[in-house]
Amino acid sequence: MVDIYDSDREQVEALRKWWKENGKSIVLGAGLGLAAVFGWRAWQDYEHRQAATASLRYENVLAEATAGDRQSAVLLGEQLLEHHPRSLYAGLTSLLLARLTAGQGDLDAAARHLDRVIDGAFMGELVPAARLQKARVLLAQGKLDEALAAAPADAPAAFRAAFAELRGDVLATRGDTAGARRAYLEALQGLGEGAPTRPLVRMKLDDLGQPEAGGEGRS
Amino acid sequence: MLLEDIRSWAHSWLMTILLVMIIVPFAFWGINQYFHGGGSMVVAEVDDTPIGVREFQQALQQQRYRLQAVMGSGLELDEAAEDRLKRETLNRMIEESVLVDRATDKGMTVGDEQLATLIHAQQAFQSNGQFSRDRYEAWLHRQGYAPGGFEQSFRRSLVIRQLQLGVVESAFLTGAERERLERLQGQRRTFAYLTIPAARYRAQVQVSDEQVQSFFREHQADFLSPEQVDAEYVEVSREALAASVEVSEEELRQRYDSQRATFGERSFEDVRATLLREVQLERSEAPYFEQGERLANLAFEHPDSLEPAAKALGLEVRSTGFFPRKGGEGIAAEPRFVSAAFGEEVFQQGHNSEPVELSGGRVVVLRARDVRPAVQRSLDEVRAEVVERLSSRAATEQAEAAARAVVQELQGGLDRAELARREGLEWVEVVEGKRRASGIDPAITARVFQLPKPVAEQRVFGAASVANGDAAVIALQSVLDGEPAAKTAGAPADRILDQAYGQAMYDSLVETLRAGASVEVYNDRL
Repeated sequence: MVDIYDSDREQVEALRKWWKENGKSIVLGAGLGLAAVFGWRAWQDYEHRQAATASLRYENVLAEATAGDRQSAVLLGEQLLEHHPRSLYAGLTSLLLARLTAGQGDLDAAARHLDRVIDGAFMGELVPAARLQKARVLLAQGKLDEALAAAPADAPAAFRAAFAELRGDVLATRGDTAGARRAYLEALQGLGEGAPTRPLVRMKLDDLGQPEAGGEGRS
Repeated sequence: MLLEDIRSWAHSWLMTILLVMIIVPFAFWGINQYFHGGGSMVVAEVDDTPIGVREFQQALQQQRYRLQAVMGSGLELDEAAEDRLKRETLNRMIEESVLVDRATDKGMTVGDEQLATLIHAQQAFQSNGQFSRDRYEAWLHRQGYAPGGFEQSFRRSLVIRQLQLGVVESAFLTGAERERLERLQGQRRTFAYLTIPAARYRAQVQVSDEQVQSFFREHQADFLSPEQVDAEYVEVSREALAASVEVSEEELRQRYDSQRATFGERSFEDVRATLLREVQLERSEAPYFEQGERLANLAFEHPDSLEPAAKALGLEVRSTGFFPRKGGEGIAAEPRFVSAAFGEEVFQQGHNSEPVELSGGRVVVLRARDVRPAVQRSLDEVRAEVVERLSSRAATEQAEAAARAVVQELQGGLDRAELARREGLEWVEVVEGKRRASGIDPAITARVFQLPKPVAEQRVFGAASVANGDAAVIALQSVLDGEPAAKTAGAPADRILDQAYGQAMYDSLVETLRAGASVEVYNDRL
């Protein structure tokens, strides 16, 4: 330092000069930085408050839905959809609304609620669940081809058995016993020993009838 | 000169701003951010979220308590069970972590107020119907939660519950589907069956030496002699201690007088034995615990022998003789004794066991006097067993073949009654049998409900293999579908089927989420 500057005074002079040249941009930068930090915090707080509100609303929908008050659950659910349309809570609520409206006999409304989950960006992993339910609705509406298309064989691995069972239901409705049997067998292969729907699928398969000395494929 | 200038400069507003810029981040991120994270012991990582050894151990401990609450406090797990418990616990924690991460990532949360409301509503934290902060804090302390630890884990469990309940509750069956399942569940079938006993064919069965040899080669692992241990043990017994307690007549009299009211008309002689036992048991409590503790300490200090403990306590070392894992006689029939005898400490390392508490106020320490490992038995030793297994298998096969042949005859028009006469067997008639009928082999019922439905009153015939090795012939007469439940929309019974599908849907969702996460488990730290 001493080699470069003759005295302290010169050093200070150099600093002052540097500040004159750069001061403005530093102050501006600091201001912007602070604004960004505060802004980000404020935004996060806002998001968090919104999420907490949505969560509370969702709890209320759940409570009404499980207590069996359909009317009230649907009303609260629709309010949630209106106020928090992009939240995952809206996705879960849509699934619930599908059940509730189907229970009221309004299959078209149920299909619309499910479509929101299928199209929406709530959570990709919920899509197969919604498609499964949609296929059920289509089957109930008698739209067998559309139901089959909604439950394709190339579903995500964990949903494959459920989709196969549904194809079995559609084919059985159509009178295609051999096809239904194949589909139910596929479902059984995909279900673990303790799977809750296993005995139900087994029952559907058995009911198709398995004659003595006949292979699984014959009817 | 320079210092002076800087001092005056520091008072300027510019310096203030610079200082604020440095200080502000600390206020926001908190000093702990600098010291946390990284390096510490982690059992698994789920998408970069660590699961720490401490959390894991805590969860494992809670799981053990839960098991003990169900199975009884005497629960001791062998190595395999312990390992399974660890895997299951870790698996659950990984699953939870995946779910919470994904859910919170997508904006799911439980607000502070909501959390507080739910905590206040927990019955465990209430006294006189009001939330009690003391109770709550005492509970947290007992459970070993760090400050804020419970709130965090409760919040996580609430978020998972929201996701789970939402999905489980949103599955539904439409009317026709539900009716179909209800018809099937309530279905009844009228049928008859007759059993062709395998014993019939037993005499005709020939087992060749080649068959015996090849069966033995393929199933060698089935023919191991069981591991055995000959254990010796020292027992401190409350009963024995009580018997040696001396009580004077005078004392018994005094006690009789003081409790006279409870004895009513009965004389001192009538109740003397009861009183004596009462006093003896009371007096033996302290020595029992004291001796138990000394036994534990002495056995621990001298891990290679029971003699020092036995000598110091004036007890004898007794032995059981060899017994296998499934237990022996006397004390070797006590499950906790057996599991200690085959535990690693005793069976493999040859040390004294930990004290084992047995029923009836006994505590023992045991060690292995001798062990016999599992040994491959020779064909000569087990020939009879092999022949027996082969013969019964062959007899079963013949009974099954006979049943199939009979089914074909029946299908060809043979009269049922005539068949029974010819074979000397009897048809068992079942009228409107349910899917779960007691008293009928489940294999028969299962086959009955699989047979095609009779058309135009033509019986349908089938064969089934029964668990005990016999074969059955079935004649299905008619099928009666169940009545779908009356349409009571929203009734709880209405939801049982829905919930089975809801649970299946949730399981699939969890599986999908888990498959999408990157999970790293450090097995050596479990």
